[in-house]
Formats: sequence, structure tokens, C-alpha cells
Amino acid sequence: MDESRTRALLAAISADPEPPTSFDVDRLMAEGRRPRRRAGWALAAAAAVAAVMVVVVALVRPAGETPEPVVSVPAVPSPVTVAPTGFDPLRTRIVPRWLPDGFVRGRHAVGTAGETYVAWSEKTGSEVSVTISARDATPPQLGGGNGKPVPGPDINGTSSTWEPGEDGGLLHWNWAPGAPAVVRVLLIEKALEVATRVASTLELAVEHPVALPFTVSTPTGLTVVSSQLETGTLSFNGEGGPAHAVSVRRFTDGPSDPDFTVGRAFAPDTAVNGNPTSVDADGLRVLVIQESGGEYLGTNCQVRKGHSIDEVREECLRVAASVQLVGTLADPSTWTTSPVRGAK
Amino acid sequence: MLDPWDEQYREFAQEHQPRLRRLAYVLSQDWHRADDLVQGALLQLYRHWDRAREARDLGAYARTVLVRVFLNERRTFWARRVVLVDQPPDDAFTVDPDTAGSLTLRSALAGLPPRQRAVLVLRFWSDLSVEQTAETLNCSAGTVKSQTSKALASLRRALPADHSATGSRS
Repeated sequence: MDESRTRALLAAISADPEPPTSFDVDRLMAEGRRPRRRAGWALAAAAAVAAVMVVVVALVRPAGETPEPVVSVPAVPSPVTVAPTGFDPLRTRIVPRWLPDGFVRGRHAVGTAGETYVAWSEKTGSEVSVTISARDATPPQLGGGNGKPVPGPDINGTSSTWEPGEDGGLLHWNWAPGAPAVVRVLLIEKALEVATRVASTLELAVEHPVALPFTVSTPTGLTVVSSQLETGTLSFNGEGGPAHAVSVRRFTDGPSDPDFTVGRAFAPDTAVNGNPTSVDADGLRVLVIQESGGEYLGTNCQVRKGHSIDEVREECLRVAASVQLVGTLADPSTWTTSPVRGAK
Repeated sequence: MLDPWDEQYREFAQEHQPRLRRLAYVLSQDWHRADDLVQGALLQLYRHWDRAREARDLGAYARTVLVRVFLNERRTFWARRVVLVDQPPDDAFTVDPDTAGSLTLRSALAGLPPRQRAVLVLRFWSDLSVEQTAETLNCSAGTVKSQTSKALASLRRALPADHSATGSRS
């Protein structure tokens, strides 16, 4: 791989067909004029951070050079003797029992092929991610290493390899026989030490049901393929139906939430279940946003080739109308562990 | 009647949006995410237009803002495509269907740490010098060189053996 080939690769990507854009400079400017609001989720997150920090302060001596545990943990996690050949996207396994000092937030994403947990430090930008894959699966190809793995430390009796990077690295081992796992650390000192401690203290033996703040009917021809716990997102994919992928998310910061659609003011043009609703379509996707009681519900439907935007709009509105809110968004203990209705 | 500053901003945004969108797509390989990145960058520019409009090269300034939005955005999961699915979305196959090598390389590029990806895109797609790239990323020229080297090495390793042996498919 050389510069000329890299240029060719980037030029080829750049030449991909460009879908129509929904960019609207007037809406963006209107959004820019609005005073920036403190997001509800950000406040909740800040409260969670504060709560965790209290726990950290209570449980841990002030950290020096060596990172200290975020939570009190048993010395050795439960062993896993058999890994599944496929993951249930509505169940999660990764429980990090130790993270470096300052790492107080994390997010899970679970798919059918594996699960990823990412945590980071807001202060330093350092990042730790853990990915476990199904038995006999090909592990994900991650950057961040130099491509020259060397033997690593034992991870609870299992051999590992360590691929150092400039300011981090990748620690590979099997979390169960035939089932690959990798911890990637970025922008962090003592990278191998940190990766080893993260890996060796992971709790992976127990499946925990995913809780979400809504229930939804299964979109036509699709099945659940992933969930993201902390953002309250559920995604479907499959061979049938006019949409090839559908995601549903409940959130509070309105469409100005950068996780959703940056810079677009909420402009309802219809109603779903009596709620003011906006419907945006750009040729590749239909995005339905409902507002109810200061919260928003987003349904994002991607158009399957050969189907019209009108078909997908109808399907997306149907899915959006099927969503029933559960519990309080800010309190995950009130969410449901059975978010999918009509699942086969 | 728009404020003259607003008028100036509107003209700038409309003129530069297509180019920024293309850059965002090369960085992210996802049109939806690219749209979000561009809107995020343009929104930041608007909110700081009084400062931004004083930039000597406003296009370069906007590019810098976009790249930094990209680097800061990597943890916003909603913007991400599902990466753990068994079956890629249909539109993953709309380009270069003739070569597994190309898809492998695209995947390898997407798997690079965001900063390495940005270095490659700025140097080899935007044709920035090492120094310009360093300025954009707010790092040293030495860091740009080492990140470039590491990123190229990662892509090289991702190539199937027959492709890496010839290295001349393109």
C-alpha cells in the first residue's frame, strides 16, 4: 500500500454516487440562533457521572500513577466455557469491572455477531473498547496497532497477543474457546498494563437483558439486529419489507441533539398518535420524529433498493405509530426488558 | 431581509456545503453521517461567524472545523451504522462490485482510528502538505508523518495476499 494507491482508494470513495441532500441553510441558521439548551440527557449523564465519582471517591484511594478501580470487583471473573455461535441483540454480556481512573462513562452495542463496549475519558480523550465475538467468528478488524503482534500476558489462564500502537494498542485473546475478544486502548499511557487489567477483570459469563424505554412492533420483514443500551436505540435489519433497516430511539434533546440530526429545527408537518411529528425523506431514508411531553421519538427507516420512498414513508409511519413509551427516560430502572412486540 | 452577516454566511454555506459534504463522506463512508457532520460544522461556524469570517482562508477554516467535528463525533452512536450485523445494508454493495480488494480496503480504512483516517484523507484526498495537515489537526508535523506511516501500514496489512503482492490493482 503506497501513497498512489491510497489516493486511488480515496478518489474511488469520493466518486461514489451522491444521494440528494436535505441540507437547508435557513433551518440551520434558525437553529444557530436558538440559545443552546442544556440537554436533558446531558444533565442525566452528568448526574450519573457525579454519582459514579462519589462511588469512586468512596471506594478508592486517590489515584496516583497506577489507575484504580472504578468499582469494587472480585479478583477473578467467572470463566466462560462455551461461547455462543451468535449473539442475542437483546442481551448483553460485557461488564467491565475495572476501568482507568477518569473513565466513568461507557456504551454498549450488541449485535448478532458480537458485542462492543466503549468507555472514554472526557478529560483526556483516552478510549478503551472491548469487543467480544461469537464462537468461530472472524474478529473485527480494528486499527490502532502496528501490525506486529507479540506474545501477551495470560488473561485468566488464556494466552494473548499484544499489538502495540503509537499511543495505545490491541490485546487479543479468546474469551471462551474459539471465541475471539479484543481490548483496544487509544491515547493512553501504560497501554498494555491498562489493556491487560481491563481484559482480565471483564465479567462475561452472565447475560443481562437489554432494557429500553419503549416497546415497538417488529417492522415488516425485519428482525432485531442490534441494541445500544445507553442511547436507548433499537435497530432492525432483514431481507423483507420496503425498509432494509429501521432504528428507533427515544431522546430528550430534540432534533438539535448532535446524535440525531444536527442543526435541523423540529418542524412538525403531521401528527402520529396525536403527537406533533415531522417526516423527512431524502431518497435513502425516511426520518420520523414525534414530540411528546418534551421528549422526542425518532424512527429512522432506510429505503430498500427497488422500493419507493412512499412505501417506506408509510412503513416508517406505521412503525413510529406502534411505539409505546415505557417508564421514565431518565430512570433506566423503569424501562422494559421486552421492547419488541410481535417478535418471531 | 437578512442581516448582512447572515447573508454572507448563507452565501458561504451554500457554496461550500457540497465540497464539505464530499470530504465528510470520504472521512466517514456514510452519507447520512456525512450530512450530520457537515451540519454540525456549519452550525459551529454560524455560531462563531463573527470570528470565522475573519479567517484568511475561510474554506480551509471550515474544513478544519469539519475534521474536528468528525474527530469529536466518534462516540455518538446514533450516527453510526450498525457494525455488528451479519448482513451489510444493501447500499454497501453499490460500488466497486468487481473487487473484494476494494471492499477490504474500504473496510480497513473505516477501521482506522479516526485521527489516522483524517491524516490520510487530508494528505491524499485534500492534497494538504504535512504542515497544513498538522495545522488542521492541531498536532506536529512529526505526528502527521508517523500517523501516515502507521495508517498506510494498516491498510497494507488489510490487503489480500495477491493484492498486496502486486500492489498495483488501481
